[in-house]
Amino acid sequence: MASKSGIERFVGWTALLTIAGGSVVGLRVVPADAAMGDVQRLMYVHVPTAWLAFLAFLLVFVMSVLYLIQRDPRWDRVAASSAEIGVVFTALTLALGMMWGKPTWGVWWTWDPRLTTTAILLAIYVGYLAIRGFADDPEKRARWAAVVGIIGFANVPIVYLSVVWWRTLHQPPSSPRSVSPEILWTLMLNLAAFTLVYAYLMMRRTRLAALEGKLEQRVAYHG
Amino acid sequence: MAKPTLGFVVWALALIVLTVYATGAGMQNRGFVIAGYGLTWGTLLWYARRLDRRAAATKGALDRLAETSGG
Repeated sequence: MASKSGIERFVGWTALLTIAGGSVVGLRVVPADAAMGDVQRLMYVHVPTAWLAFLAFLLVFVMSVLYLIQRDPRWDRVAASSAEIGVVFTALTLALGMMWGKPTWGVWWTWDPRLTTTAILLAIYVGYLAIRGFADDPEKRARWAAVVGIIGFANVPIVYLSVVWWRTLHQPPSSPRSVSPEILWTLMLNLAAFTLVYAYLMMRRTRLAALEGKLEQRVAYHG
Repeated sequence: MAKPTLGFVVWALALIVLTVYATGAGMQNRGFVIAGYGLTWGTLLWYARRLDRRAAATKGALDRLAETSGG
C-alpha cells in the first residue's frame, strides 16, 4: 500500500515534463502581452492554480455528499486529500495574484471582490482542515468535515462570478474569443500540466490518508 | 547539516536558468516573474516532499507498533 504504483510514477514524470514544457512556452515562446508586458506571463501559472483549486474543492463537495449518503471512509479520505491540495493551490493563487497585482495595479493587495472572496475561500478550507483535527472519533470527524465541505463549496461560484456581479479591479473571465490563439494554447498547455500535478498529488495524498487511517485503527485497537 | 534533496537542487538550478534568461532577454518586471514561477515550482516540490516525509513517518509508526505488539 505504501509503495508507488506504475501509473503514479508515469503521471508524476508526465506532470514534471509538462510543467517544464509549459513553463518554457509561457516564459520564452509566446510573446509578451501588448498592454501588460512580461508580467502577464504570470497568468500561465496563476490561472491554472485557481482552476485547480476550484476542481479540488468540487471534488471535496462531491466526496462529502457521497460520504454523508454511504458513510464510506474512503470518500472522506479523498475529500480530505483534495481539500489539502486545494488549500495549497488557493494559497499559490493569492500569492501569484499579489505578484501580478503590484506592477499592474500598484498595490500588493486591495479589498477587491475577487481577492476578498478568494481569501475567504482559503479561510473556509483551512477551517475544514482545522475541524478535522478537533474530533478524535473518525466517524464524527468525517461527518463534521463533510458538512463544511458541502457548505463551503457555495463560495466557489461566488469567487468565479465576483468579477461579473461587482465592480472590480480584477479582469473579467476571458473566453477563447477574447484572447489570442497563442495565449490560449499556452494557457491550455499549462492547465493540462497543473491538472497532471493535481492528479499525481491526489494519488500520493490518498495513499497517505489510507496509511494514516490504518495507523489510527491500530492505535485505537492497542489502546 | 541536512543534505539538500534532488528536488531542491533541481529547483535552484531552474531558478538560476530563469534568472539568467530573464535578465539576458531584458524581461520587464522580471523580479515578479521569477518570484512567481519560483514560488510555484518550489511550493509544489515542497508539498510533494512533505507527503514523502509524512508517509515515511506513518509507515515507521506502523512498523514500531507491529514490533511492540508482537506482529
